[in-house]
Amino acid sequence: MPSLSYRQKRLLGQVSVYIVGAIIIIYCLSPIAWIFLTSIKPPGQEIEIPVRYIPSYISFENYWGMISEIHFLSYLLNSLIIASITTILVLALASLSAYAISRLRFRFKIASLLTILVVGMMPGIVMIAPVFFLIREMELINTHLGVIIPHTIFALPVAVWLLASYFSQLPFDLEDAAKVDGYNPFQVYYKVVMPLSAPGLFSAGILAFIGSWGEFMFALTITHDIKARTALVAIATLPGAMHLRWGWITAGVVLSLIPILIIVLVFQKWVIQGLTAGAVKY
Amino acid sequence: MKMKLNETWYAYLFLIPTFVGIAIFAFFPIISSFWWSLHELRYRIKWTGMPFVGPANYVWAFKTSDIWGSLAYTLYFVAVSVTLEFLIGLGMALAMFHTFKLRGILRAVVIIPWAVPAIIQASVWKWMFHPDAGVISDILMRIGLISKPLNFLGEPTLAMHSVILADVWKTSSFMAIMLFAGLASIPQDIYDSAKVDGARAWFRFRHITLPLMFPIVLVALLFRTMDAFRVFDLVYGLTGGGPGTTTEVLSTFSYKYYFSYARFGKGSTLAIVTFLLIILISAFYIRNLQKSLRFRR
Repeated sequence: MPSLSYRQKRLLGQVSVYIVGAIIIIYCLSPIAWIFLTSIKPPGQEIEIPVRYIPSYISFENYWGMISEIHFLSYLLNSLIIASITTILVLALASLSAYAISRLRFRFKIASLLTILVVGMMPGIVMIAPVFFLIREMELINTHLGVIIPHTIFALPVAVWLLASYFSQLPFDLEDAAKVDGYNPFQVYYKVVMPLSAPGLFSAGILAFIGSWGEFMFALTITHDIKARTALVAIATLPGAMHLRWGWITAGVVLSLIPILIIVLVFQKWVIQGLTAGAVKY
Repeated sequence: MKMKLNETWYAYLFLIPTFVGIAIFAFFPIISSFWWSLHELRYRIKWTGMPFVGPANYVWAFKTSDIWGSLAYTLYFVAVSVTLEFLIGLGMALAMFHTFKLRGILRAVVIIPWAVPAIIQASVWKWMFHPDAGVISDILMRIGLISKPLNFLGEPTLAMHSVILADVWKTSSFMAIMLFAGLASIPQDIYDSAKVDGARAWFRFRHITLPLMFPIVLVALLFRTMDAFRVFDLVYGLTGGGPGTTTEVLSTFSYKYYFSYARFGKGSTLAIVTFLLIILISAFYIRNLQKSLRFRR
């Protein structure tokens, strides 16, 4: 376009920025927006041909149905309990291991880090059946703890990796001063390194929480009813005819997404730091 | 000297809980799966014995056309999905990087699909692909591209690609976050001096951006490839492997042999095949990682 003036080019550039931005926003958000719009439709209106995009009036009956008939809040509570305890256990175990790997003198440092990392790469399917029988032997089928144990194990690798790279960036001066004062390594870890590492712990904790909240295969296999089932498993295993009630399903989806989306948006900075630290996923 | 010894003992002490955990709940299960895959193992009312059959399950697996189909679909899924998500993710990352005004909003928006758990993603897309009231069919009909609703998850070829489309939505978001971090880590003055030297946009992209981003691109691609090989939730929730076995990936097939047919020997065999494929990729990954690993003490 040789005939465009500088001003026209600038305008074109600005317009195209907004167009590209709009395309990205639509691509990322429209599936979720559609789920939300379906969930606030009056019952029976979710399946209409041609599709009705804007509900004729807003109704929360689908939510009420999920809550009163499916008791969905109990499932959400199960998810919350499992994800919270998993997060605490992961942070405790991972920070100890990461501290040893990144700060203490011993052989097999790299070997132990890589061993832990390899566990994070393994497909769940190769462990699911034996883990199921182990959990059954421990009589933990359909309990929170039965789900928390595998969730903790599989969240450990990312947390160890993240925390090891975080700890290794801390200066050694404080630690050395603490050692001169006669602190043993556990005291150094507990009184010096941990308080300095709040941001790293925060990133690792958020990723562990999101991972546990969203995990499906183990939660599905190990739980079988409202006593321990997580919200996501409850949605995927709605009984019989309710499987076809998309109003309810979408309401459940919205309810179980709210906590995750709030965490991700509010703590965006830490999530992205965690994701990209050393360019390792989760 | 005494201090040193102490420190080493503490290090092992700190590692014990993690290693006991992964030994019991990760390594032992992997070894059991391998052991089971060498046995005929069915669970009925009670265990019906466990005769050792050696490689028979593997021979069976490679003689069964459904399993070849599932292996082929898994490979196809990985290849197409990772390629598409990389291209879309790169596009989104570049757009985010070059639009200063919208960067904050776009960064918040792009992270959202990543945060949606895979089984929820399956529900979301199953609803959009609904055979009667699916919103995708509806839009395509309104534009005039099709005249009656498409059965996205009911026709074999269509279903195979619908699963990939749904997967790409979430994973391209992860790619965009990673690649954006890669772009942002390139020092701006390199660009500035290239501009002064008169390098055009494409030249700058080809000779500055791409080489400097290569490490993070490699990590992101290896990671996503590995992750795509173990896909389970999405397929389980979206098609359950159907229609027939056309969208069956190794993980979902194996899960069926375990928990629907209670044939643990055969299920383990498929799980071990998945495991071996992933080991292969993770070896590259680890080698790449090892180069950057160094601790000061």
